[in-house]
Amino acid sequence: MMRGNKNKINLLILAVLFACIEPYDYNSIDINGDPLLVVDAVLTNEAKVHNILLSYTYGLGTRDLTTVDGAIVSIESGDGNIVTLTEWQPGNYATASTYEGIVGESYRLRIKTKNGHEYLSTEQTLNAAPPIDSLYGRYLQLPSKESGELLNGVQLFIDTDWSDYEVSTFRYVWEETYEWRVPYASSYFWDEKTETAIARATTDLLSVEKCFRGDTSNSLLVGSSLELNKPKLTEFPVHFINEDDPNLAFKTAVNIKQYAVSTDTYQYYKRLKENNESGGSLFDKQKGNIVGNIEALTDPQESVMGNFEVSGVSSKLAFFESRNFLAEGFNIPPLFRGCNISINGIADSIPTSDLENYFSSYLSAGKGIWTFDLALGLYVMLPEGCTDCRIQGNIEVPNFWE
Amino acid sequence: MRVLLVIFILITSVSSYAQMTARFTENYSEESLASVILDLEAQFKIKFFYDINWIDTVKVSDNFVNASLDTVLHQVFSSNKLNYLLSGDQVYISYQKPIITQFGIGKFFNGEATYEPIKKGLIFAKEYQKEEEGINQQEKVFEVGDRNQFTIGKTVPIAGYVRQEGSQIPVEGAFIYLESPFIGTTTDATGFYTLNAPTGRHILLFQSLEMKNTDRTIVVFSEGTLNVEMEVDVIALNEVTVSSDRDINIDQSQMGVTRIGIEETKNVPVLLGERDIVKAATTTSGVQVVGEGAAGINIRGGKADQNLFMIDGAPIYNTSHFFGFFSVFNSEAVEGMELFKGGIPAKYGGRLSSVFEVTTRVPNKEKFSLNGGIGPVTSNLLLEGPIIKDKTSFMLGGRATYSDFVLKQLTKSPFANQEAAFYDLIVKMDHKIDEKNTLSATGYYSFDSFQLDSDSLLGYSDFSYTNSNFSINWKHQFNDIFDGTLRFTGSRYRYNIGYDALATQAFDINYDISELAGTADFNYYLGDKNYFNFGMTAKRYQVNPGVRESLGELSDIRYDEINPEQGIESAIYFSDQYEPSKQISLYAGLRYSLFSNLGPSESYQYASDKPLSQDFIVDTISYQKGAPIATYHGPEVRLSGRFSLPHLSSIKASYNRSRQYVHMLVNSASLAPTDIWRLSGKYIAPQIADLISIGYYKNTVGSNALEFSAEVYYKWIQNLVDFKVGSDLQFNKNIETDLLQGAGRSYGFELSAKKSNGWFTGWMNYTLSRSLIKLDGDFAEERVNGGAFFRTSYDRPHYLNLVTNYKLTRRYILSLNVIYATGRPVTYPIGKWNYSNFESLQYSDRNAFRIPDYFRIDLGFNIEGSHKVKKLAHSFWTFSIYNLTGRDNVYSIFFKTVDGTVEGYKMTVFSKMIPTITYNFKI
Repeated sequence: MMRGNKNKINLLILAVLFACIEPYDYNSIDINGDPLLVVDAVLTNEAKVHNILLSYTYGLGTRDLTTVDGAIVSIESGDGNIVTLTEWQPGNYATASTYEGIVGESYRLRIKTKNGHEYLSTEQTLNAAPPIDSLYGRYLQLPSKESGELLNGVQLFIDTDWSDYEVSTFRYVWEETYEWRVPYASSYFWDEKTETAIARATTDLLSVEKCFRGDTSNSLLVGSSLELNKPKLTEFPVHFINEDDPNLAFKTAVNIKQYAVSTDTYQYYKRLKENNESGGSLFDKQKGNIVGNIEALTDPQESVMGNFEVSGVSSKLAFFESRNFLAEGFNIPPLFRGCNISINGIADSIPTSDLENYFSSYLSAGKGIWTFDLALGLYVMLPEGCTDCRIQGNIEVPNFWE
Repeated sequence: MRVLLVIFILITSVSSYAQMTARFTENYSEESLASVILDLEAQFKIKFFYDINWIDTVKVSDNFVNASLDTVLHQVFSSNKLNYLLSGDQVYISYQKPIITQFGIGKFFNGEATYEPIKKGLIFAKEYQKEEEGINQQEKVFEVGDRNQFTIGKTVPIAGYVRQEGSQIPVEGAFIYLESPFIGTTTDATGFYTLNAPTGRHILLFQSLEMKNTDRTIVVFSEGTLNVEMEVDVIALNEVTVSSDRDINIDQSQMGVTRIGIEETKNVPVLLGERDIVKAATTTSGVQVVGEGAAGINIRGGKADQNLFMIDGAPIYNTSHFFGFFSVFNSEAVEGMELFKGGIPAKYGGRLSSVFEVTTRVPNKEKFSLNGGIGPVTSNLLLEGPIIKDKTSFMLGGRATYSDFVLKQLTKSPFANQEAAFYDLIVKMDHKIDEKNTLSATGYYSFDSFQLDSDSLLGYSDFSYTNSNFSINWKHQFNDIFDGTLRFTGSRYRYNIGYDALATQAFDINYDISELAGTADFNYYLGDKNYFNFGMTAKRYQVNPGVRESLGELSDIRYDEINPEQGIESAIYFSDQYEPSKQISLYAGLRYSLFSNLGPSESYQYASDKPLSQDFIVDTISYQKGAPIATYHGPEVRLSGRFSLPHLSSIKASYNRSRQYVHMLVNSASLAPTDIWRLSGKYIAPQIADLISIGYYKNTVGSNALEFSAEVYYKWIQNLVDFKVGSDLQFNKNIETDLLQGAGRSYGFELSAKKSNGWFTGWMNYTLSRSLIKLDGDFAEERVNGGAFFRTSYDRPHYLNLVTNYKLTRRYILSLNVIYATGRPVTYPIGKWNYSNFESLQYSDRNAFRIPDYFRIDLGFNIEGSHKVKKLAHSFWTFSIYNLTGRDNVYSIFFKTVDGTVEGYKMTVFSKMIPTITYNFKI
């Protein structure tokens, strides 16, 4: 008999696939490692107090930072100069306020801990940072790193060109300061001494409507031209402002700082970033401790976390307003959903005579006076978060604010 | 050899007067037999019957004076392989075989009137019967060898081909044996077998996975050939499947050999309707995978790059499709696979842990056929048929996916919002030049591509890779005991990875490895005690480890490339399978391999007293084209032996050394499509493994026969390749600075039981194994875990596999499969630290923890059609449920810093049960 034709038809497919990623409570890992020294040290060419933080690694389930107290920390420069830092707070070692790194000079960091262990970084040369040519934003969609869903928002980019500079490896930090407004700015405040409601218009604090809030980058961002055909970065993404976040509801100022770091510091950051931020594919890389440029002299087997960065720094500040992106499709986020006064219960209407009782009772907890209704003779109380921007922001206008 | 000529002739009592009286006078010198026959026909008034092919080269030189017909015939036919029979006035000529004319012990008309009586079971002429009389092959008697050379009590080799009836497709892996004395063998990929049998009468039994069992009554006179055709078994019942291996288990001297026919994959759970021969292999002992859908197989604690996968002799570098859910082997085109995980024959080399020899089917030589299949993920089509009937045939097959559909179902997973596609093509030609020469050529091409979020895998977003292979085999049979194969193969594996999330930094990287190889392989059977295999092979490698190009007009990426690598690997080998007695079988093989990494190349020179680091490059050395940069060579000894014990049991031992000169640089537990093969060179020493194993095998007899085996092994590996933490293997010009090499140790104990007969069949394997590595360099950064031995990422001590089939009735078969494995080792965080404005993790020693154990049950239910043979179509339904309990088997647990805070996650690939219904039919 012949080997016959063979056909295979899958008539019905009930493949309900559900590969998924779920949170995992790592507190169940109850084994803690030996504490390792962590060095958080950056020396730049800015004239300022340079603070070096020494701490130990700590257990996954705890939140308390264990600082390294009583160590001797010094910065040794190539010309033989040694600057010893002073511990002004536990684990925090600071230079004088006028201390600045000099471009072209090399530095290394030496640490002697109380228990006699000595650590020394490799020599790092300070290179000048080229200026950031431009900082600009564009409204676009970006897939979320966590869920893969598409996020809308403004992506900020920089262009920078370092044709005349020695370095081509950079670390970036962004600092964002944005306007924060409450929908029902309080017109009165309760003065405890006089036990009266005082109109703000009569005081220094004319308005508590507008404040400022800030964010800074909380992950590593590095860039280089190592793989590029010219010494410049164009359209390099530095920060993404999600339109659902309040940052761009009104106006925001973003300051990008560019640190010109050495090649090995750049490699260290790149590996640390990957170690910290990758995972969840079928092909995850081997994880482990990434070691920086600090060596343990006493016990070479000991690993030291962190790195001593020596860098020149430049920065660029730019302002962004939501209205500039409306044409591109930007949606101003619906803020203060919780302040909707039509929702029962958030507003208390108190006659003047009851104000004193009200403010001495628990009912006033977290409440502030929005306004006085002349027609009804009632003060309208709302949660403070809806009336006073200072609850969630800082009313001081930053000196760079335009 | 031709089908045995069997002539059944009734002797007529009429004899011709002319031939009685006539006399013949003639002087021949180099006269053709044909003209001699014409003379005789004229002189004696007789008629000759013959095939002109038999006699056209035969010359006669003789002087006859008044000779009788008997004398003339005797003279003419005594000196060649022709036999004759004079019957009345007709002379029948036969080639090689004598013609039997009488019932009972008769006179043979080949000139030898005397006949030695044969004591044991010699045939009688009455047993030769005509096919036309409705007697099937099994009732006939076949002669093997030349009756003239018959010696009682001698053991002689017999050989031949086993083919499918009709199509002449070779039957690979058929088990051929004599019951008493028990002597068995199996056919190779071309259907060829050899067997040492005592002379005399025997029943030779033939069993195969896909064929109906058959037997032949044979009489062995001397060394000779017997070709057999087997009938396709429409529904390969399990008892056939398993019993084919039955006594090989205890009788074969080799250890750790697993043979899987494509039909056997029917017994193993099907994921997404795709039968897969490599997945079927993972249900056998000592074969482990890292996780669900992960590419790469670990054999006996070996690394995933230590397996040699071949399709018709040509290596395949990347054997996975679709992340690793499927293998690249199209099951429609595949005949079977042989897996060597220990006792690797000397003819194989180049990888440490195993050889997966996949053989494609020989295309149908008789008629055209088109096979098709539609599955939930893939579809395939296979066309085959003759070009010249019975001589030349071809096969053209393809497979493609519509996996985009499947990916859309994968929400909230690393595959969401992503695309994947793959296809593969196979083409094969098989040409039978003549009885002794066969030429076959296979071409193979596979393509895969997929997109991922750029941050989820090493910063790349687009991936594609291709395998392309060819192999040309010319098999020549010098004689019954000596044959050879000349093989020319080529393999190329290329991949392309791209990044296009940022237009200004969009690029792609191309990787390319290719090899061209020539091999001459010979088999020589010396008597019944020795079987020699020897040959030589030479291979040239070309590796382009990376070419980076900018992508798109806006891209500022600079063109760059890593120095290409060239290498030559060659080997000679010789082995002898020696069977001094029934109790003992010994195999000894020696392979000597040599590898040279050749220029042109620019190679960095590092300071000798410093760790290998970019900071300590002291010089760059240029090598000219063809100049050897580094050369390695050494012997590879392969030994194994079997000693038979009473009651169907045996013990076996083997020792194996192998050397590997190409290494895949893998930085993850699972193989990734970005893994790079690099050649041994100045900074990468060859990997060398020594494997010792000892096993005990026992079969029971009876209707509930069981096969047991227990093997222990210990493996030492030198120069196992690993990496420093955080190293970036992709497009790394100083790869040696990130690379670590160290000693490996694996050991284990494998237990397996198999039941082949009855209503309940199946097998169970339990493996206890460990796999360790030591990375202890001279400098702190070259040491991992303090330079002590630690477990590899594929170390899974307990591994249990259960495959069972319950035949409820002849038509309803229930199968249940269970897999349990220890969770694979991972590196967990054991602390946190603060740096700048975010948290980072302090990690444990490498692989100090394990993910939770893996456990899965699959259920299958087959409903066969009726077993009527004469039916238009034979069909069966398969219902299968993958992961019946819906267990959340964790694939990985990982940690990320999200918004400055460390978060833990666990990932599962198939956390629900997956039911599939398949309808299969055969026409």
